[in-house]
Amino acid sequence: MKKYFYLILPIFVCFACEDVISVDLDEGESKLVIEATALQYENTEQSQLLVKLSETIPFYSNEMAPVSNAEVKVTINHETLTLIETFEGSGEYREIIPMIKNQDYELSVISNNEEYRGVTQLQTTVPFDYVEQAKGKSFDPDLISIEAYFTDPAEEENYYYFEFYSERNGRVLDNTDDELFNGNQVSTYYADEFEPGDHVGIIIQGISKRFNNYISILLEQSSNGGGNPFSTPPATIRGNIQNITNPDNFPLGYFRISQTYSIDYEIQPE
Amino acid sequence: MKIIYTSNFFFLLGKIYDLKKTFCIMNKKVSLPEKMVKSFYLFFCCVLFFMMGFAQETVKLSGKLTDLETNEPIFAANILLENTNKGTFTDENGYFEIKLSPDSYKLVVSLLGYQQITKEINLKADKYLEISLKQGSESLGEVIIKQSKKELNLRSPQMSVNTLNASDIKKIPTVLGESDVIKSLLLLPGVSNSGEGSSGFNVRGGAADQNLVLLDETTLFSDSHLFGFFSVFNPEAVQSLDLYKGGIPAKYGGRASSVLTIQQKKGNKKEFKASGGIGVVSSRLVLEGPIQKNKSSFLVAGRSSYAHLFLKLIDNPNSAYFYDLNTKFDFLINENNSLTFSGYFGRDVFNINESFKNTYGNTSTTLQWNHQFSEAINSNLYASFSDYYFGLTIDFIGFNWESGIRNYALKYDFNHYLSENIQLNYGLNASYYQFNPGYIDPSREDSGIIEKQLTKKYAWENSFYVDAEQQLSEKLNVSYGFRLNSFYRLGQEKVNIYENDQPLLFNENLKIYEKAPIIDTLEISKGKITNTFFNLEPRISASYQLNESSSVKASYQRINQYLHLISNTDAPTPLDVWAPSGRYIEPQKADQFAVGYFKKFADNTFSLETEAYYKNIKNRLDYINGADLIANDAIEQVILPGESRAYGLEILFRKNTGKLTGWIAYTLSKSQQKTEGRTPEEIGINNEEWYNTGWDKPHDISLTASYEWSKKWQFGANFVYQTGRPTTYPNGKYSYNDITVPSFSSRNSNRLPDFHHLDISATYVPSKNIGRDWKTEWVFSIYNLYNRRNAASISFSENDDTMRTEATRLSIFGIIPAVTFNFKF
Repeated sequence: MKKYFYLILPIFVCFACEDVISVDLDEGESKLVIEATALQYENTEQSQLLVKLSETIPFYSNEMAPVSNAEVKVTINHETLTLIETFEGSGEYREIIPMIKNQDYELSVISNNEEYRGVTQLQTTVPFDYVEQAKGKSFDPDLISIEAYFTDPAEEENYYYFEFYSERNGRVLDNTDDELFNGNQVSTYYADEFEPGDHVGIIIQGISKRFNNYISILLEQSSNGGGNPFSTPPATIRGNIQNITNPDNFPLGYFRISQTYSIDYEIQPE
Repeated sequence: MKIIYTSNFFFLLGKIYDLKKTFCIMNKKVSLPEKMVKSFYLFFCCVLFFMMGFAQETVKLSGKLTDLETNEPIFAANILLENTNKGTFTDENGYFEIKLSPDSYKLVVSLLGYQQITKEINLKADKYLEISLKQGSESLGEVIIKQSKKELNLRSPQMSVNTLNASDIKKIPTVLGESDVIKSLLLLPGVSNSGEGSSGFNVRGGAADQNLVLLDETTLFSDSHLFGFFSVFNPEAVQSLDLYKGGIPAKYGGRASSVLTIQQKKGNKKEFKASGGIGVVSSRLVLEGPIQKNKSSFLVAGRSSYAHLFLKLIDNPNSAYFYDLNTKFDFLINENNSLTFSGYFGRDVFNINESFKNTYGNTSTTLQWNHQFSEAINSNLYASFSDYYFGLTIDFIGFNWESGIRNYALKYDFNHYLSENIQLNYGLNASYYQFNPGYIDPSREDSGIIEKQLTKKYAWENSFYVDAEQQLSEKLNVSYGFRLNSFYRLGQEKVNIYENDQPLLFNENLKIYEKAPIIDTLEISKGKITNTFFNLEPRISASYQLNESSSVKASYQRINQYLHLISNTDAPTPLDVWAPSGRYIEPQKADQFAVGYFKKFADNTFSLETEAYYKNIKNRLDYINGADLIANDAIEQVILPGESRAYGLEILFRKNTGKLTGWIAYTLSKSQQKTEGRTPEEIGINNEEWYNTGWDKPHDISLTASYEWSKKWQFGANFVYQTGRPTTYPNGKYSYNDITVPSFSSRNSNRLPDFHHLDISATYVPSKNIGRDWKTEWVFSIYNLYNRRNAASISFSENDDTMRTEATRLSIFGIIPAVTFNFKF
């Protein structure tokens, strides 16, 4: 909800001017980043667990730093599976795993003689009911807005992650809790410049409360780089994976398993 | 424009009507138990008796000073007996009193902007004088340029106070030519803010919510229009202001860092006057005059921005504007009684295509009864109401939002002149607060938003204070006293209960703070006290006069602050809500020490004020990473108490008289904050290390000058130089979920580039003004003359074309010329 308040910002920036300058930045110690995600498409029994290992890089650098030759394992109900690196140097490790509700998944990564561990569970969600399109329902009357409706289950606390994708406008990400609409049919809202015939992919994923918090901070920090005059003080975000060998050298990234539904919407003429 | 004012005026009337009803209910609650009053009275008598011992055989010279033209009492005028070292100042009611041995004296009465009066008196017995002073300048913009400040008072133990009056403020060149009360304060030593165009101000390293802002003795909860571009005070309606940075009198309390008192102008009791101005951003109009000649007066001042009217002309559906309405009614009942009513109403309004509507602002009213019990005892009773409202409608999401805070207060202050050497100030204060952290409801029928009232909160804050100002010897003056306060948090509909009373948990493995689950909620009636805080605040200050022209002063103060502004940004935003201390939040506790050296040069043409201070504040709230502060009904789940400290050196060098007046202010300071974990395992915030606050500017220099070239032309200039504001730059990056994410080192460990700008102004008074009623004035100004691109922020993002990461500087005000037209008749 907070981000809507930031929309106030453009009004007062009318005098303001922006220019690109050069700023020297310090370089922090590099850290291991573990992005471990498995997505259950609707109700499939098995899904792929993809673990991407990399290191943080200097802020102005464009060279990614994948981490190879790590030992990556996942333990599900006392059964341990080893993830295989796609090819040497990719830093991407994969394995097909079963999708089981209320089951602990334990991830273990050994890299550079340090062991990292994280635990997660499958988070379920609901499919979209329908999509509506409208024009003029936003700040800018020329934008087309898309509202994808879904029905929140009343009996539990739910957290959602959304993605909109179109060739014209790229990816737009969002997340929310259900506090203000528990049990209701509501929509996720997105407005942008579209032409009739454009395709917009809309994705909904179930996430945990902890990941909801994590992705909120991450989206806020990545969108403005910590420079927004209204922004909160930025800090490096800790996820749900810990370093067992050397707790102070904590890793970045997150381990999650989410159910996902998607819908493809074609923009209609007015 | 007319329509806007009319509708708002009715709205204001509605508020006043509402207020009457509420006060009826209030009276029952407020009336103090008789016993308590009696014991207070006894206490005073004891103090009195003790102090009488020092008194000598003298006669009393007292009197009242008024403005010849407006019949208003004159505050802070200097009463001096030539060839003695005796003297005093008039109080808010123009009253002064001085005890002398019978003799003949030469009395000199002076105040900047008035013509000095000298009077021979042969004093044999007690004498009461009524003196009128004539304004010393013919110019339109009020008074002066000759002498704009209260003369530096070397004798009074009061230190760390800065005074500005309306004409000072109007002389200072500003952005878009909009004279601004708070922006003027920033030119004083020890006062900063978190960047150009940001709201609030920071005094001696304190946070913006640690300033008590009193408009005619009524607390205002927000001080900015348009997110901080302009302050809420219409300079046309302001008489003067005092900023207490330290040595805060026992009369004031409740905010940890400073007190800003703003006095609204009273209407002219002799004749009807109108004045106004047209500026680039806003236009102003002031109407004042007698209701009954020499007895009562009114003043109504309005101000509004008008850019949105042009948008309407070109059929643009968006609008953004602000307006204020100030009123003051003043009734002199008889010699010993007067009544004053003052009111303020201001709003900011934004409307974007009817899908986003935002309104917010303050409402305040004060009823003041001044009663003179005797020549020695003067009292002021205030009944006041203050409300801050924030409303928002976002139609495309489908909700309305409302939040705010409301305060009802009764205050009874006494000034008691015991003898030539001792003055007592004492009083009582009772304040009732209602907090509405937020109410949300669907804005249209098909909205999925659920109606929700975040738990409203209620509290009482009561205080009693006594403070003595005493002359111990020819050279040593002291002021000592205390403020005793109690804060009662009252019951509410929903009190969250947590296991072991711990609303915030720490995950020791992942080293992250997480909200604890709410295991139960209690419903407690509003009439019940749930938490009580009781605190005694000592206030001591002393001055020692080294010689005729210099003195040293020192002070210590303790202040408790029971209200906390829940805000995780460097500058407050309009949607921030206040939270009272209670079960999960302890009051902020501030201690400040200050010492100073003061000197006058060359017959008071120049003055030098230097002060050093150290301030420590406990229980300053900080927020866990990712804390959600908006619409949060359990704020205790995301906060950690920390501490803050600030220390510094302030130098103020002034030229008070002559064609050229002005000052140079330099501040060398540090302002930091630290939040430790509650147990050794916890990591606190910023790894438990001290970090710079967002308004920490080690070097801060301001130069303000005003030059009277001729009767027609006056010139003004400002120069400001400050160390760049602290910020946090990324020190690396990584990719997660195909998003580039920055990583950071410790909080606020970097700084924006240094901030500086030069502004100039010229005021032209046409010569045909002389000898006619209709007077005009043109003010031309240029802000940021050399077009310095000061960084308000620096953000980092990927360039869509080159895919490279770039640093983007946002600068708010480049060179801005402006012209303002003022008139008066």
